[in-house]
Amino acid sequence: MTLGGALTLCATRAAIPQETCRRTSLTHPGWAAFHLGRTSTSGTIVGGQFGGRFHNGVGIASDVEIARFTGAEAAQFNQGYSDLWTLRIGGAYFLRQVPPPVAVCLTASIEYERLGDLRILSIPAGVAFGEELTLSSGAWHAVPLLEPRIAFWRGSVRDFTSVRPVFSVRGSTMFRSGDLFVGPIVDWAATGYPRWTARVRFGGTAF
Amino acid sequence: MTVNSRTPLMTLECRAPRRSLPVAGLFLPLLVLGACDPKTPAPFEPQPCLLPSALVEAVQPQTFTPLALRPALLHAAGPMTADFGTGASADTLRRALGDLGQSFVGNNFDTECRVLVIAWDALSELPNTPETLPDRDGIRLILSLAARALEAAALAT
Repeated sequence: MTLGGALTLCATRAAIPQETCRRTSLTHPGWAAFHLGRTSTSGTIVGGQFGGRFHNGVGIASDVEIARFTGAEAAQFNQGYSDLWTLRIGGAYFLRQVPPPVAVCLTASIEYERLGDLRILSIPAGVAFGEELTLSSGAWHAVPLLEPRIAFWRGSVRDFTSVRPVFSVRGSTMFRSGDLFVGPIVDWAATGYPRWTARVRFGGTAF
Repeated sequence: MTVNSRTPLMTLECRAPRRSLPVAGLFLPLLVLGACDPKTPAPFEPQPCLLPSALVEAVQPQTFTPLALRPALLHAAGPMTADFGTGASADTLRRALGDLGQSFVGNNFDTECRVLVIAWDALSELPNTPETLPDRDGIRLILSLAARALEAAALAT
């Protein structure tokens, strides 16, 4: 989610014609949003995020998210341990050298997850491809985005650890009108868990 | 300028050869690597831990408490694994059994379930040699009893 948010912050200069990698209003550099979602492992997601962009074309964003598992087994055996907390801090850089209509961003983030004594640290990096489309009404813009990523992934429980690479693809579309935006974001991991995560984000430029 | 029109993407490249992006070329290696990527080990999946049915169903429910199983787990971590060598799986198995033998109380289902699954996975990865079969079967039985005890403790809370 951080990367999706961070992609909204890539650049501020008016010379950049596309808004693909910032996906928010040009007027305000800061934004905030909340999101709801679902994972393939039956977790219900709620989260909030905020971000800002800088004049050098770099944007950063951060979000906190909780995934609650309500499956029968989880409820039966995991009282107090069924919530997966996630903290993400990420950034993106808009590649101005790439001409329109396709916009390209380099992205990276640090993500920390915790469920009971399970700790997961992952550092994904990727390239995002997108294009901003003006809808027929003119007031709304759609920004589809596709982002393949590779991540360093480290999970640990007590003194036991597992380290591996994780490959994933993120797809999203943002519908923006003025200072408000809404849209779906879907993550798909080739072999990781959860296999997929789907979120809907609602937000606006806030400051 | 070289014109290559084998694919529609390349056709686009013919229009703007210096500016188009090899998007498909970036995705293909990722998909190939993803297909070859091993799955996330079950004990580290970011979802509530569940005991493998093969582990739980190996024995009928017993009256052992987690505390009562500690000596057996410590014995499994010591003499019973002495002949397993020094490989990564054997070392992980010893450490997981030792961890449970020292701290198995049954009041932290998710963590103790994960350590049990770590031990179970490590045991399953050991070479299937006749010399170690009695010890491996014995450890398998102890882990199954521990899983039953953990399950019962979780249901009792």
